[in-house]
Parts: sequence; C-alpha cells; structure tokens
Amino acid sequence: MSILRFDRWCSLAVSGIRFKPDRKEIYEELYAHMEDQYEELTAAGFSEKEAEDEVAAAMGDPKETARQLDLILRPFWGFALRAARWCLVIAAVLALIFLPRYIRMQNFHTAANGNFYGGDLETEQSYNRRVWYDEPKAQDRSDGYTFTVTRAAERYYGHELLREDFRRVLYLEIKVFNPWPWTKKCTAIREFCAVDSLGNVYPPANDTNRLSYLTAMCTRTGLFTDTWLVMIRDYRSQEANWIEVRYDKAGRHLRLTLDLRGRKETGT
Amino acid sequence: MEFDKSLISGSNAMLVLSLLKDGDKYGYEMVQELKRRSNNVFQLKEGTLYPLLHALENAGEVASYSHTAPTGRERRYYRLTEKGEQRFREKVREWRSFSEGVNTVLNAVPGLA
Repeated sequence: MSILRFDRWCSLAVSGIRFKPDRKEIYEELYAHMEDQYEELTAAGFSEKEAEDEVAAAMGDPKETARQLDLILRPFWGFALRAARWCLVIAAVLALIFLPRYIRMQNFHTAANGNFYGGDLETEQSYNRRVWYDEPKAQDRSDGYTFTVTRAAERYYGHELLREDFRRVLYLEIKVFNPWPWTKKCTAIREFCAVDSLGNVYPPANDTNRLSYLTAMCTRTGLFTDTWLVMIRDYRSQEANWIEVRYDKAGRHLRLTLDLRGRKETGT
Repeated sequence: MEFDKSLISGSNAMLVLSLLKDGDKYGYEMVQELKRRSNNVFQLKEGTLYPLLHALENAGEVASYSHTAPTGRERRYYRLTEKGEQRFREKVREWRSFSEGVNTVLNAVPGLA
C-alpha cells in the first residue's frame, strides 16, 4: 500500500480546514476510509497498484474536498473555545499574581485601621487623643509621584510596661500616586523625616538610635496607588501648630505640611 | 449508468440519512451500503460524503463517536439524531411529491411509456 500517496491525499484534503485542531481527526477518518477500501480491493484480487489507483479515483479531487470541508467547518466556535481556554489561563495567572497582593492589602488596611481607630486589646487603656476624620489635604509632588496625607491620628498607649516615649505616636496615612505601576512600589519614605513648629525633629529610623523617629510601612493598594502608614514615635508636638514631613535628597524636595490646629479630641 | 451530477446532488443528504436509519455506520460502510442497496447505481464519492457528513453533524442531524469496527480498527461512527429523523421524513415527503410530479409530466408525453 502506498502510504505516501494516501497521506498526500488526506493532507491535501484537510489543508483547507482553517481551525487546525480539527484537521487531525478528519485526516484519520479519511485515511481509515482509504485503508478499508484498499484492503477490500486487494482481497478481491486487485493488484496493489490497481487497488491504489482505484482508491485514488474513488476519493476524487483532494482540493475539491478541501474546499468543501472549509465551507462546512467554520472556525468560529473552535477559535472561541481556544480563546475561552486562554482567558481561563490568564485569569488563573492574574489570580495567582494579584490574590497574595490583595490579601497583603487587606492585612495592611486592617493594621492601619487598628492604628487609627482601634483600642489596645491588652490594656484597654489606649485611645485616640486626636483624629483628623476629614482627610487632611496636605499634598505635594515629586519626581512624578503625588503624595497626599489622607488620615492622621495622635495616639496614646497607656500600657504601663511601655516606656513613656513609646506611648505617644502620631500616625499618618499617605497615599502615593504612582504613575508607573509596573515599577516597584515607592519606598522613599525610609528617607523621610519630620519637623514641627516647635523645632522637634523626627529623623528616619535607620539614621539614628534616637528614641524620637519616623518609621513607616508601605504596600501597593491599587494599580496606581501605594499607601504608607507613617509612625512618628515619641511624638512631642501636642502644642505645635503644624508638623511637616520632608524629603530632601538627590536634588528632590518634598513637603507635606499638616495643620495641627482644629483637630478633634476623641477616645476615652 | 452515469448520471447527471445535478440530478443526485440535491438528494445526497436524504440518501445518507436513509443509510443511518437502520443503524450507526462509518463512512466506508455507508459507501458500500449505498452501492449495495442501489445495485451499484449510486456511487457516492468520498470527497462528497465526508463534507456532507460534517455538514449534517454541524446541523445536529447526525452525531459521531469513535468505536472499534468489526475489522478491529478504530472508526468514526455516525448516528441519526432526532432532528435528523425529522429532516429525513421531510426530505422523503419532498422527494415523493417531486418524483410524482416529474412522472406525471413524463407520462403525459405521447409515445414515452
């Protein structure tokens, strides 16, 4: 049996089918048909050559079969099925990428909210002394990023085991609009310091062993947004009119000035 | 006897559906069966049969499945669906009415008995 000849016929006949995964099945069906016919003819006494010619003649023009099959087997559903599969894979990959990020974000929000509004579970003596509920609008731009202070709260922790300077903290929530979401989140907060109108200075935590310092944690909370939770420890600015978070490095300057007047007393 | 292709092309679907009426068959079996039933009058070209089978399958009139044939080889079998049965009955009705009309006209021709 001329495998090559049958193969050529079948390959030509299925070549018109635009959705390639359909080709294999139809190729096999046509090939099986030729085999059956060939075997029957040889069993009936035809020589191999005669049987081959007979089969080829019976099958007709492979190009015409290709044209007919292409007219019938519209590729829409095949391609739609493939597209659906790819969508599923992409969705799974996106879930793998973004789910841990979403969980981190939720944890961050829980921690942040706890710092702004929560009590101290251990002693129940902690309270918010002053909270700015109306979103302080301190805002500045640097290097394409936009920094906005969205929440602020002074907290006092009454835990007796805490050192006095650890009991007073000013929390700031700063949203950083990041126009390049594909880059790493903006972590420049580690270089920030704070000063107030009374001259108190809170340098970044990594710069000093002082008890008064500014520290922060940051996370990506949106496609274009990073959020910083800034903690100013040993906060001694109860009488100050303003406090300013600053960045001065590599020729870049940023000022976020928070007006401390008019803040509300809350808590117990 | 050779036929004018246009005479038979409109009836191919009906003939294939009729072959499946009494049981599931694969392509080669259908060609052989048609040859046998028509006393070698109809010889369905494979290049016509398979596009037709796939068109009927797309239309939901036949369904296919893989099964081992008596020869021991894996073959693609076709079976008639409910929709196919309905289409077959319509086609037969249509054909009978058509052939009756043609015969009536021809019988009226003098000397053509």
